[in-house]
Amino acid sequence: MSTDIPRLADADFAADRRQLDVRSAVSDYWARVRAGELGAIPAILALAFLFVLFTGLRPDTFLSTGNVANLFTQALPVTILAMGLVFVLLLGEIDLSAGVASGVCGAVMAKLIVESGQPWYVAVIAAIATGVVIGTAIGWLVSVIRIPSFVVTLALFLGLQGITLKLIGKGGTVPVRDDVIVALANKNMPLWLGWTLAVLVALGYAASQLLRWNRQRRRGLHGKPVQLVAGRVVVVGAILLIGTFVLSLDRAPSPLVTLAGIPWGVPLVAVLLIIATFVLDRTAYGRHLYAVGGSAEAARRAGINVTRIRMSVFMIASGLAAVSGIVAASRLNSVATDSGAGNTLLYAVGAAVIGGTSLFGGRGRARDAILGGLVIATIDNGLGLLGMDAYANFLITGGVLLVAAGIDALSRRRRSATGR
Amino acid sequence: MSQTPVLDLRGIDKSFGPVRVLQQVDFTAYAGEVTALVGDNGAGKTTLVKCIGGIHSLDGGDYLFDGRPVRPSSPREAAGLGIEVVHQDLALADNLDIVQNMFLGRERRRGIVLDETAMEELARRTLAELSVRTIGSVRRKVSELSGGQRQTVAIARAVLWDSRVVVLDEPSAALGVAQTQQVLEIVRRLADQGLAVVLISHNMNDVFAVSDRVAALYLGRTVAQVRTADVTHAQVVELITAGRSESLGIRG
Amino acid sequence: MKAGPSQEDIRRHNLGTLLRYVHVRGPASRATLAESLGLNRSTIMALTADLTAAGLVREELPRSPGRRAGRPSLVVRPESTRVYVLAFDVGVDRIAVARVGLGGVVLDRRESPHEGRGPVEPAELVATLAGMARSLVRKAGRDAVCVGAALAFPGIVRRGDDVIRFGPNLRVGDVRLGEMLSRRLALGVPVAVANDANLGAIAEHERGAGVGYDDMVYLHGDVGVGGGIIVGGRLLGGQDGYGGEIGHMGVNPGGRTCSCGARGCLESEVGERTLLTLAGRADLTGMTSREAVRAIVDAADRGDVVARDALHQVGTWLGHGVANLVNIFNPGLVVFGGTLRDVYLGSAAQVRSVLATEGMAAPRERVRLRTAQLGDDTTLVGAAEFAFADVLDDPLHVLARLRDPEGEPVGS
Repeated sequence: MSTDIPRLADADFAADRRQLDVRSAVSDYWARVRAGELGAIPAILALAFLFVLFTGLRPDTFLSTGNVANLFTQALPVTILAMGLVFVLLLGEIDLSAGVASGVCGAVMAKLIVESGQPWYVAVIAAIATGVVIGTAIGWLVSVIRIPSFVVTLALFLGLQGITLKLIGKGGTVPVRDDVIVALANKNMPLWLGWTLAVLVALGYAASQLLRWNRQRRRGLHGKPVQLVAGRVVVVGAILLIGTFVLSLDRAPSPLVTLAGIPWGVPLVAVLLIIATFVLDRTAYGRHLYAVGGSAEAARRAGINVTRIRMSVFMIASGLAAVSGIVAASRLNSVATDSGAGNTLLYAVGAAVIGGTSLFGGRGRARDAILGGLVIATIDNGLGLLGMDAYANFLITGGVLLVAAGIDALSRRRRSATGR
Repeated sequence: MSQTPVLDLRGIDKSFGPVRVLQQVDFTAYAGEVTALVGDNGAGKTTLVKCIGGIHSLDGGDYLFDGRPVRPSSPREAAGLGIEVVHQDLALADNLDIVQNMFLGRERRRGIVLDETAMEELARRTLAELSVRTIGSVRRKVSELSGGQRQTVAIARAVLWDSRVVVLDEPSAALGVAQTQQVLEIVRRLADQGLAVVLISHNMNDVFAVSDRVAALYLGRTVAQVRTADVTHAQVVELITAGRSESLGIRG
Repeated sequence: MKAGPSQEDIRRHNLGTLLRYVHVRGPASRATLAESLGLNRSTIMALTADLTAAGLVREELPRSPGRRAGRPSLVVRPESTRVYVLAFDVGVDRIAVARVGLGGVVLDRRESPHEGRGPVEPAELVATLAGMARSLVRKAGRDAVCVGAALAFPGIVRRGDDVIRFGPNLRVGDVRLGEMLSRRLALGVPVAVANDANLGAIAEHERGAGVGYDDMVYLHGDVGVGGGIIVGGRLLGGQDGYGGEIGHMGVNPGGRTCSCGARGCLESEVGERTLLTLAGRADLTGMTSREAVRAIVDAADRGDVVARDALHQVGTWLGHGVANLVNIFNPGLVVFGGTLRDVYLGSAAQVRSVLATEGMAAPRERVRLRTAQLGDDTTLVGAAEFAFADVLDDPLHVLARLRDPEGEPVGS
């Protein structure tokens, strides 16, 4: 009813008042992409490419329901680790010790369960506490003592491996047999629960998007056209439901048993994603994180406690590394001396960067970890199916990380060239 | 106009070790007026601004705000009084949008959730009050803005908080002509809205175009505080370069 | 002849006053209106009912997040999209036409450059303007109604019959442009014609830098130099409406020859052609006057000494002109618009230096020098305000006449 047309004085916010139509929204988006704001595009393209490639090379195994479910559980530890790293990368810092920290935390949990006979929840809390303590130490060294994070975490990368060795001892592995822990990566939700959750999440997402759109429209604020919002809701909903459907198919290799449902680890990641996205997008803390990553000086002048922010991201990263260590322990049913070492960290950093998080700070979202984690897991999984030698695996994964970092650097150059 | 100045500094002294930078400096700024602070390089303008903004403490002298003696000892305290300084480097976060920058560190919330709609509306209203014409959308990232637009955002951020005094340090230093003009008009509008504006500038045209008063510093002392309407270009240049002006009857 | 104003006259006056209030100040609650207009609330209610019935305003609940307790007072807002005027601005090198809604909202606009430096055929000009206007009208909603039209012209226009007596920079002298255009548009509204700088003065006074100033001078540069003087809140027109030709105030006896034939007019000393000549850029072609002036200010800012010197000289003469105006009219405000905005900002030091030495101390004491707040739209907005004058004076009569052009107006 109220076709509000701006008065002369604010006629120039026309772009804000106008409900964008689809065409101009698309052309705006295209202009942003061309100026170097790639967002999720590289990750989605990579994922599509890899799926086509591996399906072509291994048509009968790659797309089997069993392998797809495997892909998800394979992606879990990397994704969780990467989600923590997104926080660190947002500040333009790096945590090279996150992988081995996850190993230490896994070892702490395993030892408590196996040797002290503690219940699983005590062990989990202790493991996460260990992670937070490690993160606090890194944060203090980086933000208060002002040692570059690269050096601090490189030192811890070595030091923490020593601790894992000491904890686990000569045996080499500690088996994890606690039912709850093992279930995380190896057991599935009942079908009805999976479907209920999937539908609820889809509906919740749709509701939040539409409510937001409606609020913006009502108050005459900057908003996307309703067709795009609806389109996004449909796509996300479709992915959720198709995923649930695929995972609900019986994938047991033998007809005598049934194996179906969403692995328990998936809702865990979903919850972490929702929390992390909420913190980054909707809270003052998240806003301050982006500000410190964009310009620490501007943030300091605005009265933000930069030291505290810097410290907090390492605590978050190491805390999530602990969760990742627990999931990894669950997947392998054990913790070994080399848990979290090797290429774990490389995979996680690669996942974050492929997903679209910048190594230069200030850009990145929690969902980047999911997208990138899936890409990394797909590469790992596909190469495994192809029976590639270990050397090829290392070469290819390293190459992917370099490409992702290269895209990040080039798009950043593009942004500054086009004044964005 | 014989009202109480919003900002009234009397006999300010400031030294850094053995170096005396400000000596018995007087400076006043009135609501609704633009006071230009001029002086050669090293005359003490920046130091004076930092004293006003609470970055430097005073060694001696009186700092009156609205007639009350105060001693802001940090930018935060100065902001609490309603004194905002827009520094030359602006201090904006490039990766955030205009609204986010304007409210940085002082976000509006509902519970723990940021109140985006309230912030967006308030930001737009503030910019509209400054008749900012060329921003397009308040949700544009600062990295997309031109130098003049960034300056505008920095100024708008300073006046968002019921400020009484806004100090602008060389706002047009790195801008082209069209953008400088835009910023000057905003400076003028701030004063018309009742703020006391302190403008530091090297450019005599800028000073004459918008200021109501001119305060000239020469070697760390105030040599003149005069109404812009009463002086000529030549006299102000004389005050800056020689610290005196025969025709104004001011001797160094 | 009646002894005093009739009931009907008072009502008409009140309707106009209320409509003008929301037109100029924007939407207002009944309570605010009652307080500001000094009428009681029931009168306000009756007046808004009349205006609502006529489709000029509408009442609605306030939109802003009013969390205050109590029943909110209804807000009266102008029907911006349904009631509009056409504003024409014939600049020397551009033509602009806008559809402006009640409340001063620019709803839509067309602009085109034109080669105005040679003689312009009036018929051709009218055809162009009518074409642009028609495309605007076509885009208006079906229920929208055009209540007036006005044209800003850079020349001397006789009040009463709108005959252009002199157009120094557009040689279309002594024609009735308004009548021609009105016939061509066939919208049933007359097209008023007025001097562009005069209209700019009105615009800045009502919606720009001059809000709150009852005495102000507006100087407008567009190749030539024009002006408008507001005295006691009203535009100074003079005997025949030719008043305010500030550009032809003599400042330099024996100076350059002016387009009006005299020597040393303000226009001939500070006009665009002089500035270009002084800056050694008289050959700048293919640029609009605004671009050419900006190029010089830009060059001066980069340190071009010739451009600086040119601005210096022009600024000095402009200062003489301003000093005269300040001494004679004692304005609270002097506004520089059009290309003079750029000239002033590029030579403020000279302008004010001369004012400081030549202006008398008392009148210059409180004068403020400002640039036009409406930017490049001053004259266009002024034309729109001028076009609204009729409907604001007698809202119902104008609407009735539009609805039924032949018959007797209803209700008066």
